[in-house]
Amino acid sequence: MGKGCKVVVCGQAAVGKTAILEQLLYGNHSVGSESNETQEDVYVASVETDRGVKEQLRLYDTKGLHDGQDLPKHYYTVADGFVLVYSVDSVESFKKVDVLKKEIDKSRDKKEVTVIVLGNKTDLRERRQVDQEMAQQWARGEKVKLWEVSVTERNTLIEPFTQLTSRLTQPQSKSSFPLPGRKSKGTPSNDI
Amino acid sequence: MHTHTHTHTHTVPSSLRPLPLHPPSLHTDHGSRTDRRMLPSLSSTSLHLRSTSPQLQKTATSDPHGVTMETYWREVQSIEEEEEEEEEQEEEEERKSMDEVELEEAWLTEAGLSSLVMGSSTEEAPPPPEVLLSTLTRQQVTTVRKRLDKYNETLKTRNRQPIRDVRDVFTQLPEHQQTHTPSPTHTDSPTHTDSPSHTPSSPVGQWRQADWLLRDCPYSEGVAEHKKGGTCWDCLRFNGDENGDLPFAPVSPSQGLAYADDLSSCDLRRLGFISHIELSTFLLALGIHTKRTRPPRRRTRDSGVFAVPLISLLESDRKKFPGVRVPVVFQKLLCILEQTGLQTEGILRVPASAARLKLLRGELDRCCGGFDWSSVRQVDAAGLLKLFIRELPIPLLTHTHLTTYRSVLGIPSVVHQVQALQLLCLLLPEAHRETLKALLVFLRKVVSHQDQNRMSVWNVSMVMAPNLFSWRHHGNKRSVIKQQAEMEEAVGGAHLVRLMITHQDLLWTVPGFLLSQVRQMNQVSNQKQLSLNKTKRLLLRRKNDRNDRNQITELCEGVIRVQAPLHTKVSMAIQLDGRTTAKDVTARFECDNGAPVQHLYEVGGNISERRLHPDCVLLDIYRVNPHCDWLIKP
Repeated sequence: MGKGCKVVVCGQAAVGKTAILEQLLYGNHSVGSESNETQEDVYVASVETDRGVKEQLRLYDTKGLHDGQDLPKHYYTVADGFVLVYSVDSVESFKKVDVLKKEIDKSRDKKEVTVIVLGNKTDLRERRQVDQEMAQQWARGEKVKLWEVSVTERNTLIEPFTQLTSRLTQPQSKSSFPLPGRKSKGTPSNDI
Repeated sequence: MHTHTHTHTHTVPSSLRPLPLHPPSLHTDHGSRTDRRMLPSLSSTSLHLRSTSPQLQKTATSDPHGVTMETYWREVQSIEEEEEEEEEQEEEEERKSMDEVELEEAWLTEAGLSSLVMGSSTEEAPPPPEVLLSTLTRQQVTTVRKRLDKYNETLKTRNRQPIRDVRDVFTQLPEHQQTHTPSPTHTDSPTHTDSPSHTPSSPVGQWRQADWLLRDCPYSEGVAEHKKGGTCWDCLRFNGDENGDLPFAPVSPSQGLAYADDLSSCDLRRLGFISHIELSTFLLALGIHTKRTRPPRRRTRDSGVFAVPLISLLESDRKKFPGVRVPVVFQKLLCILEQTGLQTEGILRVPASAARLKLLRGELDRCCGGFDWSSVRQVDAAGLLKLFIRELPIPLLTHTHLTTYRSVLGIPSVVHQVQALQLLCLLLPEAHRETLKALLVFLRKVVSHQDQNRMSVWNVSMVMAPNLFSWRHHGNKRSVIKQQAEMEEAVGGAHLVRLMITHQDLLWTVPGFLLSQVRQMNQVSNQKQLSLNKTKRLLLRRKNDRNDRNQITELCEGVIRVQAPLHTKVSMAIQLDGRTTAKDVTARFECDNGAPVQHLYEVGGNISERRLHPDCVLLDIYRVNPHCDWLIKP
């Protein structure tokens, strides 16, 4: 993978996409702070993978989707990976994630994409509407990884992004016949 | 000619009192020289003398004017002493008026039209003449055409072939003009073009608002009334309260004004061309003639501190301090003076011993890096500062324009004098403008401490004038006429310095019409470049396509994409409304903690690069330059 895999962060409006990114990247997001509606912001982040290599991600923070809105089509062709975000206090936002996942699957045949799902705002316990077990079951069915996170706890955000980056930048030699001279740097050698 | 008449109609006879003169080394009847013959030409300045007198009376007891004039002559005397000690004074070579051809050539070159006179383009190719000409107003074009006609005529009388026929250059013009003239024509009377929101501010408070900066029409058109023998509205408006000391303040930056140092050097060069043409047009419209003289030969050295061109000093400074804009030595001298001298009585006026200055100068020239500044006292610093300015091989105000400054004095009203000074400052080379700026900022500080240091603005101007305008003495045999001329120079020079100190904030502000002319010029030259080469154009388009891939969403109306390559957040799409300012945008990138102060820049489109003032309203810029990129950087 060339430097800067493109990752599109999307989901319903006001589920906390920008908050997640800002907390992850700057660590100074204060919960409940006033926010402007995002149009489209791009962040460049350097994430350490589980192989100990630093990789660059281009994170596209998209405009939150309102009822009946679809994610603009061009994102599907551009993205190498997706972070689908919902908020545990909104069933609607979870349904949106399901819709988005189906859309991604439709355009998938052209290109391999990695998808992760984040259920945000776990700190709002008493307002929870999306059951964790139900969500995980859905994720297993869709073959995607799902984490429940909270912007108040930055460390909950790190694992998902590390895993995402690791999978995005995974050497592709895994599949059929590894060519003899082509050993990838980061991985433990798997010859013999 | 109406030149002075209306400015001093209200002058009371008492101000016509002869000014006492104290020229150095002249002990004969100095009373008779102050006869009334010289007064008409001095009246506009004596008027200002009068207006400063309340301040002067604080510092001087009996004869305020006498004291300050003496300041001037003492300064001249000490300058002469210093020079004589150094070396045998070079025989003042008779400064002949420049040869006609040379004169016109120099003018056209400075207007960025060198290709018309030199044939092939020079190393720093300015835009093709058609591009420049198409952005000018009709009056400005007339000025250029006159110059070019004159140039070709002189060539013809000498049997030389002009490089290009005038008709070649001007043929396509009419058509261009209609499409590209910066539309001063849309108002019938250019003297009343103020938009309703900027009604003339009454001059209450500490400053007057220079709302004319925002106008679409060039200064040269604003003074059209003068040509008919009347006075323009600005003169009436600002002269009512006749007080040259009330500074003109630039209008609020939210109106989109730019300062010279906000622009890239490429735009500044183009701005210089237009300022140059506009200045000539402006002076012409006011009926003022400028005479150019051949620059005197000056000693130039390549290394050291004194007599080294500013640009060379900066080059070597930048090896140590990248991005430095004012020579480090100059800054150091100002710094010493500011730290130790602001409260000292007679700062800048009291001379240092010539021998000590010579010693320090020698040492500085020898080891500018390792020089021990701790031994430099405030008096020495002042002496060195003035010496530095005088010794510059190209004077701070440049020789090409030194004589123009003198013609500024002939302008009948302070408003237009300030406007002319502004144009003059905008066409200075960058290093000169920045250094002058640093100097003027310092001088203003000196004046602000006048209760302690007893240096009023008039005193400071008197001291600095002979250093900035190196109008020299012409030997010892002084005729009455020459002395009179000297006297005029003295008062005139000081008047100019005073104007520059008082109105300095304005001098670096780019008036609206000039910026839009630069924009137009860029636009026309871009179009020209595009049509030049089709394949290039194709390549360009492909390149643009690739760029667009990175920013994937098509932007809708009123949404800009701000790039911040040095940030974690590298790009942000922002919906503009009528109130969004540059500050609002930079604030949204500030979550990157610890980053240095960042500015928003307008890049590309019809400007090469411009730093935006934090209060600048972005929608206005989006409208005049819809295709620019927005960039955040330090």
